[in-house]
Amino acid sequence: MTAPRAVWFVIAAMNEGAMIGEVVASLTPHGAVVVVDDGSHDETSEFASAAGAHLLRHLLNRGQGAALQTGIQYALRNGASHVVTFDADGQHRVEDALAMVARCDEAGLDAVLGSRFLGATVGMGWRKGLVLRAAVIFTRLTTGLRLTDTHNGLRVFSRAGAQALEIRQDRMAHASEILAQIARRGLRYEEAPVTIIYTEYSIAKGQRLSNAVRILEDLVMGRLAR
Amino acid sequence: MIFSLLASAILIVAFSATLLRRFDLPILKLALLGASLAGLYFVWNPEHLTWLAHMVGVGRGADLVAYGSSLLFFLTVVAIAARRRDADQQLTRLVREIAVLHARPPADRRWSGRDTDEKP
Repeated sequence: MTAPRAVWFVIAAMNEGAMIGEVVASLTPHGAVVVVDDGSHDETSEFASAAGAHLLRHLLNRGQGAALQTGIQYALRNGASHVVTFDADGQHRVEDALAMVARCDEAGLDAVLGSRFLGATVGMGWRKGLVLRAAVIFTRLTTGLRLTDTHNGLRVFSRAGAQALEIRQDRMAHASEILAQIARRGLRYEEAPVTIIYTEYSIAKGQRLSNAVRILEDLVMGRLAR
Repeated sequence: MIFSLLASAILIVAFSATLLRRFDLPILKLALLGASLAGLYFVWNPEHLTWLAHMVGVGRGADLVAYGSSLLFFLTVVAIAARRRDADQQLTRLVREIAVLHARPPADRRWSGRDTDEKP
């Protein structure tokens, strides 16, 4: 490909004022950043904008899946060659993301998916580990994908890969939905080791384990409604 | 007699209302139409209801009505959930469109996203 490389980082943020400025500033040297403020009540928008992000605001909270889809669509319209989904709470490392972009090009992949189980986790609780492994098995059964970590927010898509996605699960079930679409559309993918840094902040902002039930419900309803 | 007249009036209203309304779940419409017609018949011929209940292995006609109602209720819940899901997705599309229309690119052009790493 001779087209210039334009890496777009897509961040869905909901009340992430505490970290978002720092996270955006760490990414701007490496590409464009689009922050989708998903109806925050704090200063997420102001900090994201001041740090150099393209700012999109959901007037109403629609969930992380919806916000990612908004950001991906915007990045594609603006000529992204690569779309990187990145969490707003500082749990991902920029160098992991850049290595994944390089790998995506090098191997001609549509998607590179971060895996904390190939890489490292810093400060993860054992119950979280258990639920994540259950999700891995669930994904293997429902999509046939053999992955080691199915709920990692750090993903890299080539332009073609990003165009093949259409996230309709507005809330947290989008992680499973993305994988289902990768499987169904036959995208070329690979996992890459990443380090997840669990800080007190990211744990407080993260998913409660009880949400797993809600996610299952969304997935079942999504299938029924089809 | 009074009960039968009253029940018939209500069932006729229910039947007409169901007939006129558009349902997301066609099977629910059919079920409701069928149920009100059956109700209309059995209100005047309760012994036939008892006979039908025995046929399908249920003790009393009233029990059959209870089971049927549960089934209808379940179908209704599913239909409402499906409708809510549709409405949610439409709302998301609307919110997304507004977000993109009002996108605020960064003030500094270095961060605009074009040719960030290298020039062609």
